Parts: sequence; C-alpha cells; structure tokens
Amino acid sequence: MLTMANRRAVDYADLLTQALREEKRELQASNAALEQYAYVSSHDLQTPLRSLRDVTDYLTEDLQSDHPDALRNLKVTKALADLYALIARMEGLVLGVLEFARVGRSAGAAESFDADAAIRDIVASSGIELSRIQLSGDFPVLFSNRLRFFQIVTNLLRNAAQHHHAPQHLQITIDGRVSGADYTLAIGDDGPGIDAKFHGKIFEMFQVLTPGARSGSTGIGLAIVRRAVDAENGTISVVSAPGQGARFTVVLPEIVAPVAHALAAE
Amino acid sequence: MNPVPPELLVVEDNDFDVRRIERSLQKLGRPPGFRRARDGIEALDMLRRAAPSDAMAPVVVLLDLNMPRLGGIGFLDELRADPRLQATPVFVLTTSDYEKDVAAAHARMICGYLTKPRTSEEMVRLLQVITDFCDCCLYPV
Repeated sequence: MLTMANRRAVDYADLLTQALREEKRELQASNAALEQYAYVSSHDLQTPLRSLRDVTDYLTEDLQSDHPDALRNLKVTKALADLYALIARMEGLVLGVLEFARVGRSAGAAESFDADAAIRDIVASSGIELSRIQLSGDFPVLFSNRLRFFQIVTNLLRNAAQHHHAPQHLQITIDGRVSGADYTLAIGDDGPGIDAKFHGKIFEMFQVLTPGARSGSTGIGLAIVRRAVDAENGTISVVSAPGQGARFTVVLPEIVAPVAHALAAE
Repeated sequence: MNPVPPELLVVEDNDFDVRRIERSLQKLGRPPGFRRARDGIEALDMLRRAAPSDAMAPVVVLLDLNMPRLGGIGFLDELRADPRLQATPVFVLTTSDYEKDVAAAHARMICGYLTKPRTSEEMVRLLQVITDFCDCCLYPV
C-alpha cells in the first residue's frame, strides 16, 4: 500500500512527465514549422533568382546581337562575370538551405542498401576523381535512411575538396568499420586542416573559415552533415590541426543490416 | 503527326517565366505565339470559352503549380471534373520538386511533371523536348 507521501511523489512525477511530454511536443512542432519555413522560403527565393539569371543571359544575348561593341568593353564583361559569380553563390546558398531543411523533413523510411555501391555512386556524382579517393575497411549492407547517408558522405567529400589548398594533389581516405550493429565512417583529407579552436564552430550554419567566396563554399555543408547525423542519433567528431589535414569520424548506431552484422562477427 | 498542331496554353503567374518560354520558343524557331493565363481560374475560363460545344480545342497546357487564386492542383481537379475538358493534355512545369506535389499532380493524370530548369539554356533544351514530343503525339480534336 502506498503511503500518502509516496502517492504524492508519484503524482508529482506524473505531472513532471506530462510537462516534459508537452515540452517535447511543442519543440517538435516548432522544429517542423522551422523546417517548413526554410523549405518554403528557399523555394520562393529560387524563383526571382532564376529570373535574375535569365535576365542576365538575355541581356548578354541582346548586347551580342544589337551592341556587339559593348561586349568588347572590359568593364562591361567584368560586370557580367561578377553578376554570374554572385548569382552562382546565391544559388549555392539557397540550395543549401533547401537541402538543410530537407534533412529534417525526409523522415523517410529506412531501407537496405550496399554501403560500397552507395559510396561509389556518391563519389561519381561528387565530381571528385575516383583515383583521389582511397577506400579501406568494411562497406556492408546498411539499413538506414539512404538520403541521409548520401547527404553525410557527399557533404564531407565536398568539404574536403572545396577547402583544399592544392586541389590537384587532393587525397581523401574513406574508412568504414562495423562494430556490432554500429557503423563508423572516417573521412580524412590532406587539406589545410582546421585549428582546434574552430572545431565547435564548423558545424554551425553559414560558418566558413576562409574569407570571401573563394572556394564556392556556403558554410552549409557541415551543418547538413551534423543535422543528418543527429537525425540518425549518431555522433560526429573531427581530428585536425593546421597543416595536417582533417579527419571526420561519423558513428551511425544500429544501421548495419543484421546479415552483414552476423557476417562481420564471424 | 498532328493534322492540327495543338495550341500551347501557358498557365503561369510569373511574367519572367513566361518571357523565358517566349525566348526559348524563338530560339527553337518555333512560332512564338501561345496563349497565357495567369492562374487556374483564368485558364479554365479560356478553355471553356474555346470549347463551347462538345468539341475540344486541341490544346496542350503547360501548368505552373504555385499560383494565386487557383493553383495547379486545384486547376487539375476542375479540369478533370469537366466532361468537355477532362481529356486535356497537361504538362506540369514548376519550381517544386516536393514529393507531395509530384504525387498529387500525377494522380490527376498529367502527361509529365517537369521542374523549371536553373538556366535559360536548359530551358531551351527542355522546351525542345516538350515540343518535339507533342509533335509526335495525337491529341483529341
């Protein structure tokens, strides 16, 4: 039999649980609203941006046909080139925000896919030559959200390529490890490296360590990775120092498909 | 081949996107003329006026989804419910690649779902594909 004090403690615990549950529901709702907002606004931003590119194209065409002299004027051609560069940068930002919003939105079903084939596909679509990438370790069949896996690997590769100081020497390593049902993916590069004092900052939205639009980086890629990893209840960490490249390690729990898991254990 | 080439009806609220279609058709050496409605309501009015009898006007619709008053999906609902217009071939051309939009449009019997390309050059190529495809098709007259 419960004493009065016990009963009161239980009631109080129930109250707390309920308050927590409500708080969680509110948080989820506001997250969903934010995602929806980012998704819709980045779509709306695309429309005038597309027209801006069109108008610049048409202006160039019309100059070419009606005022060909103008296109021999360096000031004019420089201004047009600047316009295209700015448009491309803005497009990168808008698409980045869109992709970021989509990471949360696509709660999509988990499916099984082959990590090896998936990574080869991702490399092929990344524009990085396969010869610059060294694969090692385990690439089993995974059971997970394929889009998120794609986003994690793509953005880590892109990050390595975009920030490299000498792209013609770029070398990337991808190492996969199975441990129980957890999968660990380590992606290393021989780029300029990141000072430890920035390690916390690089996963935030719009954070770039090099000034200006140099590498075409938008500062969204690693934020997308972080968000996708969070959505998988995983962890991400970085080991890096200036001049020593960077190595990002992602641990994705409970995603190794049971069969592969059993095989790896043998 | 079509004895009567179908007329193009562009349903699009954005003037810049309409100009893009004009310029692309020009570059393709196609007759630049097409009809244009600014939203679903205007498009239905035009189609209903053009088909006063049981006969359908041979027309291919290029439909945006996100528009004021009556958007693309609402327009498709009315179109498919109208006995005189229900067979109208429609291509969706929109910014949205949202899965729900793709599914909703296809559920309303469209000929194809296309997203607006990023550059004007890609738009020319896309319109080339659409117009070439329409040239190969027979449509209800």
